[in-house]
Amino acid sequence: MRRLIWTLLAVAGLAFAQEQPKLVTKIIDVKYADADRVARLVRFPGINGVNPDNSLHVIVLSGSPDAVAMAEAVVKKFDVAPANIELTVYLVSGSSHEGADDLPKDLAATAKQLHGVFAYKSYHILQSFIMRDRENGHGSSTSGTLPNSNATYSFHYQSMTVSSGPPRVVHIDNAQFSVGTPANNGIRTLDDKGHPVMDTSTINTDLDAGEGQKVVVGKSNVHGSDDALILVVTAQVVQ
Amino acid sequence: MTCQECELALAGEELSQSVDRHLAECLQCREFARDLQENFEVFAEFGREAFGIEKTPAVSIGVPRPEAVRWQWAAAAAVAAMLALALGLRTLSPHTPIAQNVPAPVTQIAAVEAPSSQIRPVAAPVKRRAPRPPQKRAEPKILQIKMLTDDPDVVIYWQIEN
Repeated sequence: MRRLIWTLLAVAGLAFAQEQPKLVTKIIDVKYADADRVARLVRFPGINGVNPDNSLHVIVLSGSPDAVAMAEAVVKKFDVAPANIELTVYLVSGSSHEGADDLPKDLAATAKQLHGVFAYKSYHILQSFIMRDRENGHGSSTSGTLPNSNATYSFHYQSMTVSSGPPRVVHIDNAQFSVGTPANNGIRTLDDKGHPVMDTSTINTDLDAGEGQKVVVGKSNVHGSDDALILVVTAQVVQ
Repeated sequence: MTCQECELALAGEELSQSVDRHLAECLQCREFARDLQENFEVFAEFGREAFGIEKTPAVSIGVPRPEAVRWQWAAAAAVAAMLALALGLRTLSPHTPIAQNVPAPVTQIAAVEAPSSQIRPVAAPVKRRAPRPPQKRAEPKILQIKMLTDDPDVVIYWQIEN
Protein backbone atom coordinates (compact mmCIF):
# COMPACT_ATOMS: atom_id res chain seq x y z
CA MET A 1 0.00 0.00 0.00
CA ARG A 2 2.77 2.36 0.97
CA ARG A 3 4.62 1.54 -2.27
CA LEU A 4 1.51 2.40 -4.27
CA ILE A 5 1.20 5.80 -2.62
CA TRP A 6 4.82 6.65 -3.33
CA THR A 7 4.40 5.56 -6.94
CA LEU A 8 1.35 7.77 -7.39
CA LEU A 9 3.16 10.74 -5.87
CA ALA A 10 6.12 10.25 -8.17
CA VAL A 11 3.90 10.04 -11.25
CA ALA A 12 2.03 13.20 -10.22
CA GLY A 13 5.33 15.02 -9.69
CA LEU A 14 6.58 14.02 -13.10
CA ALA A 15 3.34 15.14 -14.75
CA PHE A 16 3.51 18.51 -12.98
CA ALA A 17 7.13 18.94 -14.00
CA GLN A 18 6.28 18.28 -17.62
CA GLU A 19 3.45 20.84 -17.63
CA GLN A 20 5.71 23.66 -16.43
CA PRO A 21 7.25 25.27 -19.56
CA LYS A 22 10.92 25.85 -19.65
CA LEU A 23 11.86 29.48 -19.07
CA VAL A 24 14.68 31.17 -20.94
CA THR A 25 16.33 34.58 -20.54
CA LYS A 26 17.90 36.42 -23.44
CA ILE A 27 19.71 39.71 -23.89
CA ILE A 28 18.80 41.41 -27.16
CA ASP A 29 20.80 44.31 -28.57
CA VAL A 30 18.92 47.43 -29.61
CA LYS A 31 21.30 49.47 -31.75
CA TYR A 32 19.15 52.21 -33.24
CA ALA A 33 15.68 52.19 -31.78
CA ASP A 34 14.53 53.45 -28.41
CA ALA A 35 14.75 50.41 -26.11
CA ASP A 36 11.91 51.62 -23.90
CA ARG A 37 9.57 52.08 -26.84
CA VAL A 38 10.40 48.74 -28.38
CA ALA A 39 10.02 47.02 -25.00
CA ARG A 40 6.41 48.13 -24.82
CA LEU A 41 5.70 46.17 -27.98
CA VAL A 42 6.86 42.80 -26.72
CA ARG A 43 4.81 42.41 -23.55
CA PHE A 44 2.67 39.58 -24.89
CA PRO A 45 1.65 36.23 -23.32
CA GLY A 46 4.57 33.92 -22.62
CA ILE A 47 6.91 36.80 -21.78
CA ASN A 48 7.50 36.92 -18.04
CA GLY A 49 9.96 39.79 -17.87
CA VAL A 50 10.97 42.72 -20.08
CA ASN A 51 13.79 44.95 -18.86
CA PRO A 52 14.91 47.63 -21.32
CA ASP A 53 18.00 49.77 -20.80
CA ASN A 54 18.50 52.70 -23.11
CA SER A 55 22.02 53.50 -22.01
CA LEU A 56 23.21 49.93 -22.53
CA HIS A 57 21.07 49.60 -25.68
CA VAL A 58 19.69 46.22 -24.64
CA ILE A 59 16.46 44.54 -23.68
CA VAL A 60 16.55 41.56 -21.31
CA LEU A 61 13.68 39.19 -22.04
CA SER A 62 12.58 36.15 -20.07
CA GLY A 63 9.80 33.73 -20.84
CA SER A 64 9.00 30.64 -22.81
CA PRO A 65 11.40 29.91 -25.68
CA ASP A 66 8.75 30.48 -28.33
CA ALA A 67 7.62 33.78 -26.84
CA VAL A 68 11.18 35.03 -26.42
CA ALA A 69 11.96 34.12 -30.03
CA MET A 70 8.89 36.00 -31.20
CA ALA A 71 9.82 39.02 -29.10
CA GLU A 72 13.33 38.98 -30.52
CA ALA A 73 11.93 39.02 -34.04
CA VAL A 74 9.77 42.02 -33.16
CA VAL A 75 12.75 43.88 -31.74
CA LYS A 76 14.84 43.19 -34.85
CA LYS A 77 12.01 44.41 -37.08
CA PHE A 78 11.90 47.81 -35.42
CA ASP A 79 15.58 48.18 -34.64
CA VAL A 80 16.63 49.42 -38.05
CA ALA A 81 19.08 52.15 -38.90
CA PRO A 82 17.37 55.49 -39.58
CA ALA A 83 17.51 56.75 -43.11
CA ASN A 84 19.98 59.42 -44.05
CA ILE A 85 18.38 62.22 -45.98
CA GLU A 86 20.10 64.68 -48.21
CA LEU A 87 18.37 67.99 -48.80
CA THR A 88 19.36 70.24 -51.66
CA VAL A 89 18.00 73.73 -51.34
CA TYR A 90 18.09 76.39 -54.06
CA LEU A 91 17.19 79.98 -53.39
CA VAL A 92 15.87 81.59 -56.55
CA SER A 93 14.74 85.13 -57.27
CA GLY A 94 11.97 85.82 -59.75
CA SER A 95 12.38 89.19 -61.44
CA SER A 96 9.96 91.31 -63.43
CA HIS A 97 12.84 92.72 -65.49
CA GLU A 98 13.72 91.33 -68.84
CA GLY A 99 16.76 89.09 -68.91
CA ALA A 100 18.03 85.57 -69.32
CA ASP A 101 17.60 82.96 -66.66
CA ASP A 102 20.60 82.25 -64.50
CA LEU A 103 19.90 78.82 -63.07
CA PRO A 104 21.80 75.51 -62.77
CA LYS A 105 20.95 72.72 -65.18
CA ASP A 106 19.19 70.79 -62.44
CA LEU A 107 16.53 73.47 -62.34
CA ALA A 108 15.85 73.61 -66.07
CA ALA A 109 12.58 71.70 -65.78
CA THR A 110 11.59 73.78 -62.79
CA ALA A 111 12.28 77.03 -64.66
CA LYS A 112 10.13 75.86 -67.52
CA GLN A 113 7.20 75.28 -65.20
CA LEU A 114 7.76 78.59 -63.43
CA HIS A 115 7.70 80.47 -66.75
CA GLY A 116 4.48 78.68 -67.62
CA VAL A 117 2.74 79.61 -64.40
CA PHE A 118 4.05 83.06 -63.47
CA ALA A 119 4.65 86.28 -65.36
CA TYR A 120 8.15 86.84 -64.05
CA LYS A 121 10.55 87.56 -66.90
CA SER A 122 13.64 85.90 -65.48
CA TYR A 123 14.84 83.72 -62.65
CA HIS A 124 18.22 83.90 -60.97
CA ILE A 125 19.90 81.61 -58.55
CA LEU A 126 20.87 83.43 -55.37
CA GLN A 127 22.24 80.61 -53.25
CA SER A 128 22.22 76.84 -52.95
CA PHE A 129 23.28 74.50 -50.21
CA ILE A 130 23.11 70.83 -49.24
CA MET A 131 22.13 69.53 -45.82
CA ARG A 132 22.37 65.95 -44.66
CA ASP A 133 20.55 64.62 -41.62
CA ARG A 134 19.17 61.44 -40.12
CA GLU A 135 15.53 60.58 -40.05
CA ASN A 136 13.78 61.61 -36.83
CA GLY A 137 16.70 63.80 -35.90
CA HIS A 138 16.49 67.02 -33.97
CA GLY A 139 16.54 69.27 -37.01
CA SER A 140 19.30 71.30 -38.51
CA SER A 141 19.97 74.85 -39.62
CA THR A 142 22.27 76.85 -41.80
CA SER A 143 22.74 80.53 -42.50
CA GLY A 144 24.98 82.87 -44.45
CA THR A 145 25.25 85.90 -46.65
CA LEU A 146 23.97 85.99 -50.18
CA PRO A 147 26.77 86.49 -52.72
CA ASN A 148 27.34 89.98 -54.10
CA SER A 149 24.97 91.57 -51.61
CA ASN A 150 24.65 92.50 -47.97
CA ALA A 151 21.57 90.33 -47.54
CA THR A 152 21.61 87.40 -45.13
CA TYR A 153 19.64 84.18 -45.17
CA SER A 154 18.86 81.39 -42.75
CA PHE A 155 17.19 78.02 -43.18
CA HIS A 156 16.20 75.48 -40.56
CA TYR A 157 13.67 72.75 -39.96
CA GLN A 158 12.45 70.80 -36.97
CA SER A 159 12.70 67.19 -38.11
CA MET A 160 12.48 64.91 -41.13
CA THR A 161 10.70 61.61 -41.52
CA VAL A 162 10.52 59.18 -44.40
CA SER A 163 7.37 57.37 -45.37
CA SER A 164 7.60 53.80 -46.53
CA GLY A 165 7.49 53.63 -50.28
CA PRO A 166 7.84 53.27 -53.08
CA PRO A 167 7.95 56.10 -53.81
CA ARG A 168 9.31 57.23 -50.49
CA VAL A 169 8.29 60.70 -49.42
CA VAL A 170 10.39 62.87 -47.13
CA HIS A 171 8.34 64.99 -44.76
CA ILE A 172 10.14 68.11 -43.59
CA ASP A 173 8.50 69.47 -40.48
CA ASN A 174 8.34 73.22 -39.92
CA ALA A 175 10.81 74.38 -42.54
CA GLN A 176 11.62 78.08 -42.15
CA PHE A 177 13.54 80.16 -44.58
CA SER A 178 14.20 83.85 -44.20
CA VAL A 179 16.09 86.49 -46.12
CA GLY A 180 17.02 89.77 -44.52
CA THR A 181 18.19 92.85 -46.33
CA PRO A 182 19.21 96.09 -44.65
CA ALA A 183 16.33 98.49 -44.36
CA ASN A 184 16.51 102.10 -45.47
CA ASN A 185 17.25 101.28 -49.13
CA GLY A 186 20.01 98.89 -48.32
CA ILE A 187 21.98 101.38 -46.22
CA ARG A 188 23.17 99.68 -43.10
CA THR A 189 21.54 101.30 -40.10
CA LEU A 190 21.42 100.26 -36.46
CA ASP A 191 18.57 100.40 -34.00
CA ASP A 192 18.75 101.65 -30.40
CA LYS A 193 20.37 98.42 -29.24
CA GLY A 194 22.96 98.41 -31.96
CA HIS A 195 21.32 95.73 -34.03
CA PRO A 196 21.11 96.28 -37.78
CA VAL A 197 17.65 97.19 -38.99
CA MET A 198 16.58 94.58 -41.53
CA ASP A 199 13.67 93.99 -43.84
CA THR A 200 12.97 90.30 -43.52
CA SER A 201 10.97 88.04 -45.78
CA THR A 202 10.19 84.53 -44.58
CA ILE A 203 8.71 81.30 -45.87
CA ASN A 204 7.38 78.93 -43.21
CA THR A 205 5.82 75.65 -44.19
CA ASP A 206 5.84 71.88 -43.86
CA LEU A 207 7.06 70.12 -46.97
CA ASP A 208 6.42 66.71 -48.49
CA ALA A 209 9.02 65.93 -51.09
CA GLY A 210 8.89 62.68 -52.99
CA GLU A 211 12.20 61.21 -53.98
CA GLY A 212 13.38 62.95 -57.14
CA GLN A 213 10.72 65.64 -56.91
CA LYS A 214 11.49 69.33 -56.90
CA VAL A 215 9.24 71.14 -54.48
CA VAL A 216 8.92 74.85 -55.18
CA VAL A 217 7.69 77.22 -52.46
CA GLY A 218 7.50 80.91 -53.25
CA LYS A 219 5.92 84.20 -52.43
CA SER A 220 5.54 87.49 -54.28
CA ASN A 221 6.20 91.12 -53.40
CA VAL A 222 9.33 90.53 -51.40
CA HIS A 223 10.29 93.68 -49.48
CA GLY A 224 7.57 95.59 -51.28
CA SER A 225 9.11 94.99 -54.69
CA ASP A 226 7.73 93.11 -57.66
CA ASP A 227 10.28 90.34 -57.20
CA ALA A 228 9.53 86.89 -55.90
CA LEU A 229 11.36 84.76 -53.39
CA ILE A 230 11.42 81.11 -54.46
CA LEU A 231 12.74 78.10 -52.63
CA VAL A 232 13.34 74.86 -54.52
CA VAL A 233 13.91 71.80 -52.32
CA THR A 234 14.82 68.28 -53.33
CA ALA A 235 15.14 65.40 -50.89
CA GLN A 236 17.06 62.18 -51.43
CA VAL A 237 17.22 59.19 -49.12
CA VAL A 238 20.75 57.87 -48.96
CA GLN A 239 21.96 54.78 -47.13
CA MET B 1 -75.10 90.96 28.83
CA THR B 2 -73.91 91.55 32.35
CA CYS B 3 -71.60 94.38 33.36
CA GLN B 4 -68.77 91.94 34.01
CA GLU B 5 -69.09 90.53 30.50
CA CYS B 6 -69.13 94.04 29.13
CA GLU B 7 -65.96 95.02 31.02
CA LEU B 8 -64.20 91.93 29.77
CA ALA B 9 -65.31 92.70 26.25
CA LEU B 10 -64.11 96.30 26.50
CA ALA B 11 -60.77 95.25 27.95
CA GLY B 12 -60.33 92.76 25.17
CA GLU B 13 -61.57 95.22 22.54
CA GLU B 14 -64.24 92.80 21.53
CA LEU B 15 -66.73 95.37 20.46
CA SER B 16 -70.08 94.15 19.27
CA GLN B 17 -73.71 95.24 19.04
CA SER B 18 -74.52 93.65 22.40
CA VAL B 19 -71.73 95.66 24.05
CA ASP B 20 -73.02 98.84 22.43
CA ARG B 21 -76.53 98.08 23.61
CA HIS B 22 -75.26 97.43 27.15
CA LEU B 23 -73.21 100.65 27.16
CA ALA B 24 -76.31 102.58 26.07
CA GLU B 25 -78.23 101.17 29.02
CA CYS B 26 -75.49 100.98 31.75
CA LEU B 27 -73.95 104.19 33.14
CA GLN B 28 -71.27 102.36 35.15
CA CYS B 29 -70.01 100.54 32.12
CA ARG B 30 -69.96 103.81 30.10
CA GLU B 31 -67.75 105.35 32.80
CA PHE B 32 -65.57 102.26 32.79
CA ALA B 33 -65.22 102.53 29.05
CA ARG B 34 -64.32 106.24 29.31
CA ASP B 35 -61.67 105.47 31.95
CA LEU B 36 -60.34 102.71 29.84
CA GLN B 37 -60.01 105.00 26.86
CA GLU B 38 -58.19 107.60 28.92
CA ASN B 39 -55.78 104.93 30.06
CA PHE B 40 -55.20 103.96 26.49
CA GLU B 41 -54.42 107.56 25.60
CA VAL B 42 -51.95 107.85 28.45
CA PHE B 43 -50.25 104.64 27.40
CA ALA B 44 -50.16 105.80 23.83
CA GLU B 45 -48.57 109.12 24.81
CA PHE B 46 -46.05 107.33 26.96
CA GLY B 47 -45.16 105.00 24.10
CA ARG B 48 -44.57 107.86 21.69
CA GLU B 49 -42.30 109.65 24.15
CA ALA B 50 -40.40 106.49 25.01
CA PHE B 51 -39.65 105.61 21.36
CA GLY B 52 -39.22 109.17 20.15
CA ILE B 53 -42.10 108.98 17.74
CA GLU B 54 -43.19 112.34 16.51
CA LYS B 55 -46.75 113.11 16.99
CA THR B 56 -48.17 113.25 13.56
CA PRO B 57 -51.68 114.10 12.54
CA ALA B 58 -52.27 110.52 11.52
CA VAL B 59 -51.18 109.31 14.93
CA SER B 60 -52.96 111.93 16.89
CA ILE B 61 -56.27 111.25 15.27
CA GLY B 62 -56.69 107.74 16.57
CA VAL B 63 -56.02 106.50 20.01
CA PRO B 64 -53.83 103.42 19.94
CA ARG B 65 -55.40 100.30 21.13
CA PRO B 66 -53.91 98.51 24.11
CA GLU B 67 -52.83 95.60 21.86
CA ALA B 68 -50.88 98.00 19.70
CA VAL B 69 -49.12 99.40 22.75
CA ARG B 70 -48.21 95.91 23.83
CA TRP B 71 -46.96 95.13 20.33
CA GLN B 72 -44.71 98.16 20.35
CA TRP B 73 -43.14 97.09 23.59
CA ALA B 74 -42.79 93.55 22.34
CA ALA B 75 -41.23 94.71 19.09
CA ALA B 76 -38.77 96.93 20.92
CA ALA B 77 -37.81 94.09 23.23
CA ALA B 78 -37.43 91.69 20.29
CA VAL B 79 -35.21 94.09 18.38
CA ALA B 80 -33.06 94.64 21.44
CA ALA B 81 -32.80 90.92 22.06
CA MET B 82 -31.82 90.26 18.44
CA LEU B 83 -29.18 92.96 18.53
CA ALA B 84 -27.77 91.55 21.75
CA LEU B 85 -27.80 88.03 20.35
CA ALA B 86 -26.14 89.06 17.11
CA LEU B 87 -23.47 91.01 18.96
CA GLY B 88 -22.86 88.12 21.31
CA LEU B 89 -22.59 85.57 18.48
CA ARG B 90 -20.25 87.81 16.57
CA THR B 91 -18.04 88.28 19.57
CA LEU B 92 -17.93 84.63 20.52
CA SER B 93 -17.63 83.21 17.02
CA PRO B 94 -14.11 81.69 16.56
CA HIS B 95 -14.19 81.91 12.76
CA THR B 96 -15.07 85.55 12.39
CA PRO B 97 -13.01 87.53 14.78
CA ILE B 98 -13.98 91.13 15.00
CA ALA B 99 -10.43 92.11 14.27
CA GLN B 100 -10.85 90.85 10.72
CA ASN B 101 -13.45 93.44 9.97
CA VAL B 102 -11.47 96.26 11.44
CA PRO B 103 -9.56 97.98 8.69
CA ALA B 104 -5.85 97.81 9.15
CA PRO B 105 -4.25 101.04 10.19
CA VAL B 106 -2.97 102.90 7.22
CA THR B 107 0.68 103.78 7.48
CA GLN B 108 1.26 106.06 4.58
CA ILE B 109 4.57 107.44 5.64
CA ALA B 110 5.32 108.78 2.23
CA ALA B 111 2.10 110.71 2.13
CA VAL B 112 2.84 112.64 5.31
CA GLU B 113 4.27 116.02 4.57
CA ALA B 114 6.53 118.01 6.77
CA PRO B 115 4.61 120.30 9.12
CA SER B 116 4.11 123.70 7.69
CA SER B 117 2.47 126.84 8.88
CA GLN B 118 -0.30 126.51 6.38
CA ILE B 119 -2.55 123.51 6.15
CA ARG B 120 -2.92 122.48 2.59
CA PRO B 121 -5.93 120.63 1.35
CA VAL B 122 -5.11 117.04 0.57
CA ALA B 123 -6.03 116.05 -2.91
CA ALA B 124 -7.95 112.87 -3.34
CA PRO B 125 -5.76 109.99 -4.48
CA VAL B 126 -5.88 109.49 -8.20
CA LYS B 127 -6.53 105.96 -9.29
CA ARG B 128 -4.09 105.05 -11.96
CA ARG B 129 -4.74 102.22 -14.31
CA ALA B 130 -2.05 99.66 -14.77
CA PRO B 131 -0.39 100.19 -18.11
CA ARG B 132 -1.67 97.84 -20.74
CA PRO B 133 0.79 95.29 -22.05
CA PRO B 134 1.89 96.09 -25.54
CA GLN B 135 -0.34 94.39 -28.00
CA LYS B 136 1.30 91.99 -30.36
CA ARG B 137 0.99 92.80 -33.96
CA ALA B 138 -1.33 90.38 -35.63
CA GLU B 139 0.69 88.08 -37.80
CA PRO B 140 -0.57 87.99 -41.35
CA LYS B 141 -2.43 84.90 -42.34
CA ILE B 142 -0.69 82.96 -45.05
CA LEU B 143 -2.63 81.19 -47.72
CA GLN B 144 -0.67 78.46 -49.49
CA ILE B 145 -1.82 77.37 -52.92
CA LYS B 146 -0.68 74.21 -54.65
CA MET B 147 -0.28 74.60 -58.40
CA LEU B 148 -0.44 71.72 -60.82
CA THR B 149 2.18 71.54 -63.53
CA ASP B 150 2.82 69.41 -66.57
CA ASP B 151 5.85 67.86 -64.93
CA PRO B 152 4.95 65.44 -62.10
CA ASP B 153 8.40 65.97 -60.61
CA VAL B 154 7.82 69.70 -60.12
CA VAL B 155 5.37 70.71 -57.42
CA ILE B 156 4.76 74.41 -56.85
CA TYR B 157 3.34 75.94 -53.68
CA TRP B 158 2.72 79.68 -53.61
CA GLN B 159 2.18 81.63 -50.44
CA ILE B 160 -0.05 84.68 -50.28
CA GLU B 161 -0.13 86.90 -47.23
CA ASN B 162 -3.51 88.28 -46.24
